[in-house]
Amino acid sequence: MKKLSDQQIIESVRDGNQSDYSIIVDRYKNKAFSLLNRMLRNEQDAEETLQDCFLKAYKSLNSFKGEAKFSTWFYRIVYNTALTKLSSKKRKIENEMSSVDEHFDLKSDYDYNVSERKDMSEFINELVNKLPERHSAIISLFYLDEMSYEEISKVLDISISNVKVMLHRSRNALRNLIIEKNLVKELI
Amino acid sequence: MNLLPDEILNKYLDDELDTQKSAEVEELLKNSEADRKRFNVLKLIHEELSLIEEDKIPNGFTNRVMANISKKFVLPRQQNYFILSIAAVFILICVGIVVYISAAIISSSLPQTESIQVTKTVYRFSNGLIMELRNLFSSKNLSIIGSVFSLGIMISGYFFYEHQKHTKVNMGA
Repeated sequence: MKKLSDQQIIESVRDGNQSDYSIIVDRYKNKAFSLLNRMLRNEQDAEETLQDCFLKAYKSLNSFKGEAKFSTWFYRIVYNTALTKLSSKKRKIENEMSSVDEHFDLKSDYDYNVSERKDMSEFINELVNKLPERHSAIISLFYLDEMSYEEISKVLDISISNVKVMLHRSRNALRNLIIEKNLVKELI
Repeated sequence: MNLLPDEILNKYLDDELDTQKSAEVEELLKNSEADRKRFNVLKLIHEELSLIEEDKIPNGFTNRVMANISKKFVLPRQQNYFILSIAAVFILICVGIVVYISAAIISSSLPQTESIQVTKTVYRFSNGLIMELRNLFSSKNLSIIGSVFSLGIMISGYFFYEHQKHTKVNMGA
């Protein structure tokens, strides 16, 4: 069967076929859940927030004009809802995330125990969750959702150069930790 | 020892350098073990991140979302019907009061069948209306009317509050 495009499904939902929205939910739920998991660091919060996001998107479907890709539009809702959730949890995200010039250091936050050696992907995935929320969001959008710099900049509402800076900084932080902890031989 | 800047290494990794700059970086990487190590770990991280799998959301999520959509987007219509029915009851009560007053006035003026001067009729009608209203809003009836209106205001207030809450949630705070 031919796979329907997001736009076709949205048109169908707008025409009154409410149940077709489940195709959109199925299509994006796991990737959006991964993004929220990395930002909120709590599965239950991530699931609840994702439900809210799908409801918001459904309610605002008429305002989606199709100028941008649906995924960009939807992830923008997800990202902003996550930020709202974080601020409501009284995390000091303004201080933590407001600037792309922020410098962070993973080594003080993470203590890798060689005896608990894990699969390398799992290990790096764990490290990604230790990055500041916006940086781990960029990693998730770039590698998991395979978004371009331009799409990520639209989702996060920052410039393309800032997206690159933050992505590079995240990778550097992961690399520095691995080198610092002398894990290269362990991992390679 | 001068190390290659992180920015250059990242751009080289993402294939964002021009041919000449790429060749220079390659040459430098050949000659510097420290840079080579930094780059290789960076490359390893890039490759591993590309292999990261998405998290799986618990089963039944889609059904829960769709059930919520059905519930949330039908409820406002039901609320509208309820508000309409309350408004209809109020209108009926008001119409009833007006009809009652009119009937009382008309009945008091019925015996006079001969031609009556218009001004006299108007005077009597307005006088009767004032009397009826005075009776209606006497201390005995006033408490009943007050209770009905208070109840109406409370119900309206509740729905207004719910509507505001609902709107706020939908606006995404």
